[in-house]
Amino acid sequence: MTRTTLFALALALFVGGCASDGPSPSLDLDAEVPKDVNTPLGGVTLSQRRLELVRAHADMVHFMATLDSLQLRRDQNGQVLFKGFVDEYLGTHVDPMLATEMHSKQPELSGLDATIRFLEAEMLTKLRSPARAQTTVDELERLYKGREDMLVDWPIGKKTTLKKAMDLLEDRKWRG
Amino acid sequence: MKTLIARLSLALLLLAGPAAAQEEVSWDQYLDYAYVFSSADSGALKARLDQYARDAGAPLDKHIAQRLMPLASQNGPEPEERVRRRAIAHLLLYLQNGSGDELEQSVEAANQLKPYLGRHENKYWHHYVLAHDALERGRPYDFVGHVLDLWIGAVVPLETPYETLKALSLSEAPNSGFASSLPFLYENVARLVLIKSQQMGIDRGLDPLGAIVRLLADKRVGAHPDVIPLAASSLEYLERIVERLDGPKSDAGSLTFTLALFEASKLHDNARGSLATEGLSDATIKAIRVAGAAYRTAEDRADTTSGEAAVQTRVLRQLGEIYAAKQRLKVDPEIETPFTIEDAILVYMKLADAEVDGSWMELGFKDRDGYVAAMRGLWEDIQEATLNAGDYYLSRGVEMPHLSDDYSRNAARLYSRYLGLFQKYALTESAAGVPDSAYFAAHEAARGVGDAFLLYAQHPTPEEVELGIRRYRSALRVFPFDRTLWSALTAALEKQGRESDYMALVRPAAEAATRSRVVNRWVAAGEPEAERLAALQRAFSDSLAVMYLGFAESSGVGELERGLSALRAEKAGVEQKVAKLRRQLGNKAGPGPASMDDDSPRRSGGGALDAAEMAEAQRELTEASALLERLDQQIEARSRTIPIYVATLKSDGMGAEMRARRDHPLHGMLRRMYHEDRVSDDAPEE
Repeated sequence: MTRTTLFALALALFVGGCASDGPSPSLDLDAEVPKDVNTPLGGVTLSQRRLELVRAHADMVHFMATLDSLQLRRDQNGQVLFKGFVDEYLGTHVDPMLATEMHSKQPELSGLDATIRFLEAEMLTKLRSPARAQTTVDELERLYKGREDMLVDWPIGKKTTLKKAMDLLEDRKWRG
Repeated sequence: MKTLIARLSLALLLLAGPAAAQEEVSWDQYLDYAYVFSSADSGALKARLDQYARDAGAPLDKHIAQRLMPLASQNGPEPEERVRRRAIAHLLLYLQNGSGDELEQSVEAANQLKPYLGRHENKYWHHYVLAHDALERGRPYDFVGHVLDLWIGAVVPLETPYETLKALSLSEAPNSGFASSLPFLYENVARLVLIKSQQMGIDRGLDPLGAIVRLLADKRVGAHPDVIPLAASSLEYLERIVERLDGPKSDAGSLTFTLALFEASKLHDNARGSLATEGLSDATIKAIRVAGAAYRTAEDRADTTSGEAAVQTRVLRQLGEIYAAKQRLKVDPEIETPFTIEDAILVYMKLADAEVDGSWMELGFKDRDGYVAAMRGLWEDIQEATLNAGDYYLSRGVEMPHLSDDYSRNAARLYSRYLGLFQKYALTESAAGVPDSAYFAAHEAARGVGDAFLLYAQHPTPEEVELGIRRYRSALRVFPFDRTLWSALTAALEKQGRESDYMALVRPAAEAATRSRVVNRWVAAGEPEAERLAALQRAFSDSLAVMYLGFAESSGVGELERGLSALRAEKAGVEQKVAKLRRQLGNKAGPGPASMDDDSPRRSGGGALDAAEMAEAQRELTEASALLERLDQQIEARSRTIPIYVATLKSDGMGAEMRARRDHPLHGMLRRMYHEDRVSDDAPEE
């Protein structure tokens, strides 16, 4: 039987590629992959993006519950293991997903995108990574400037305006 | 639970057949699809491997020896799929027969995959094998690490490709790659964490995997019924675990604790089943002991009061079952359990005291609802276990009269302990941690003290008698609607020669029930049991009916009605006598002195009444008339009261219904009634 894991990845790239009418791929093999410049307005690409964001958001909510639980019970070994896991999840999965500005410009995705960024900043604070948390906050401020009244699902289980969420996050950051 | 796991394993195994059947029969192909059936239990796995051996024409160990042995280094690098298949093959043999040697060889091959971990399939098997090795060695830290690595390295990267393939209906295409295995990976991780780890006795350090379990339950396991039918999935089991993990019976979300408590609950179920079928046999007693030890393990794993409360709630249930069985079966075998009702009360007090200073969130609860639910649940089990244990002691006293005083005092101590708890925490109607059913239980406990000293004890001290009577009175104030208690009180008073105290003792309870705004509103609104309550209220407002409630129980309604008939017969006799006397006196004294022409008949004995006879007849008439008047009053009173009393008989059984149902609507009413116009003197006190 032929193993074609790459097929799936290629297919995913293909689907993504279909939605983008950006410049032709460079022949320079070492060139950085360009960020999305076009915003999908519907179809598979948009629903796929939304699905990914929804799943990442749900996963991060579960991670937060476990982090809180481990901290409450002062489980040092568990925290070491789990913080490493979350750190890797954010670095390898969430950050690449948020590397595009496209989500913040798409009305169907911007709420989720902002919410995930808040969650990530909160998690990074819990992981004792203040510099990375600040980077996430700076990015939030840059992307959502002028939209302070937009509602986000943060803190978990509540809806707050982006401005209030930012104030809360700042407060939590200092409190650790 | 065992059945469920076996069913899941079997169903999952069946899925392996069709997938492989499409291919040419070869062990390599079976091994490439091993993620489909590798989670089966050893028996089912052996059956499947035997079947594959017949299909492939050789057993797996022979296939390993012939085709998968490590290549000599001079032959160049070994192909990664060959290494992977060797790791899988040895793992399957280990899972089938538990051979440490097979696991060792599997681990060796899995470690040889390290240069090829860029491939998700290799990464999955590498960590899957090493996770099993960690389980075998009893190393929870390593186990957790491998499961987390497996998730981040093999599962997360496949999720988006799988969704893409699925969106294009390509997820089951033959060349869709390892991405199509995702639903099976979810199942395998779920079984590895929830089932295998417990089978291997890992009872600590699993908490970081709580996140993975939550992820699995969040639209992953069971989300692909086209690939794995729901009946074959571990979804049901998983959901139960997550429900406990996030619910009020959790130890702040600790997976270790949740699994330990789940395991103990399973053992408790076994003991319960054995108790039902075999009674308190040796096997049952052993099962009870094993369950108790498992609960102790769970409690040891609890870091928070929330977790302790979850354990105590279940343990109390077991204690209650043991006492109930001992009472029912009339045996008293030696049963050891590491828990007592007092332990549970101490945990409850920790919970309740946190309400005062608002520190309940530090006890491991996520929200106030969970905190309140845990407190109420624990309270209910404390009350049930207390009442069951008290009943047991009283029944033992009946069976062994020479020890009845001791047993009665044991029962009274238990009841009093509960009443002490009740008095401390049921201070206001809104006391959050006190369930509605606590009030009826307080009635039962107060009555229990009275019964213990006045009904069951053979030689109670005067102080005990006094306490018993006070408790009966308290029981009446808390729940006056148990008709049998009124007669129990008179029986007790009679035993002490204090029948005359009856009315003075019961009047406050009768008046309180009659004027209760809560009860009146309840009856007026036609709420449940309104008719029975109204009948009792009518009786409480009638002092004669109150007397009947206390004293008529032994004679019965038939006797009362016969008494009424006798009164009526007596009245008829007296009426005749009065009429006769009136005639006599009327004839004589009627129109004045008799005329000469009067030829009316004379009394026998001759002639008119003389003055002495007149006076005597007049006296008799006065007496008979007075008697008649008294009889009229008695008949009128009894005619009115007996139906009122008879109507109260319909309330029989209401108490038993309330004890059987913690959610009986009257519990709430009772709570409000208790707190209206409550005077501290009337509250149960110790």
